[in-house]
Amino acid sequence: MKKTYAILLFSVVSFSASAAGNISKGKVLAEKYNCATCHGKDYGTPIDPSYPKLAGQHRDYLEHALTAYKRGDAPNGRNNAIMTGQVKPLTNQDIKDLAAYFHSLPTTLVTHR
Amino acid sequence: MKKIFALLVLAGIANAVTAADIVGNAKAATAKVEMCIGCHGIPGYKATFPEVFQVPMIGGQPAKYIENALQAYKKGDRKHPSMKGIATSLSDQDIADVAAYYSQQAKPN
Repeated sequence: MKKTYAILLFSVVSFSASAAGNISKGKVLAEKYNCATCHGKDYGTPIDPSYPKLAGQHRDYLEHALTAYKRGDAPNGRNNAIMTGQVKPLTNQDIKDLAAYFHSLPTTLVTHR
Repeated sequence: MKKIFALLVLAGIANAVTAADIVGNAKAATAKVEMCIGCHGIPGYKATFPEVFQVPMIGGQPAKYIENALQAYKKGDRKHPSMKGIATSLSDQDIADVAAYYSQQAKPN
């Protein structure tokens, strides 16, 4: 019985980890796909004002945005010369990991009126 | 032929002038952001379509990015029903003003 509890607990923990994305895996992916080339070395100082700051942005929004680029020119999708290509190799888990990583970084973004 | 060139040049200048004319004015945005703050001004506010997600923090994003995003919703490059509705109701000047307004928001020290 104890074992079953332990297994259940373990699966709950690992499940929630995958649902939230893995920060260290996200860091590796961000480097692999050169996100800093446009979004800035700390992902919060884009090299051009036409690119967004990602650092500290809401995790679930980042997932939504990347998913939308993946949908492309379809309902609820996004078309973008650069991002359409960037998201092509990403799995759903990659998207979660990247979102978790960017969200974990210190931000200059704010929510107020 | 010369006339055509002159016209083309003139048209080019006219275009440049239109683009340069639009300068975002944060102070003019006060009334225009009324429809933004109902979602983007509320910490933790969530959109429920097509996924459930917290609406993005836009305060402190570069003005040009906000402008591009709103234009993309307007044009249909970003397909999001509620944001399309909002963006199509805004003129290019409104968009520039709103972008200036949010880009100037910063964390209190």
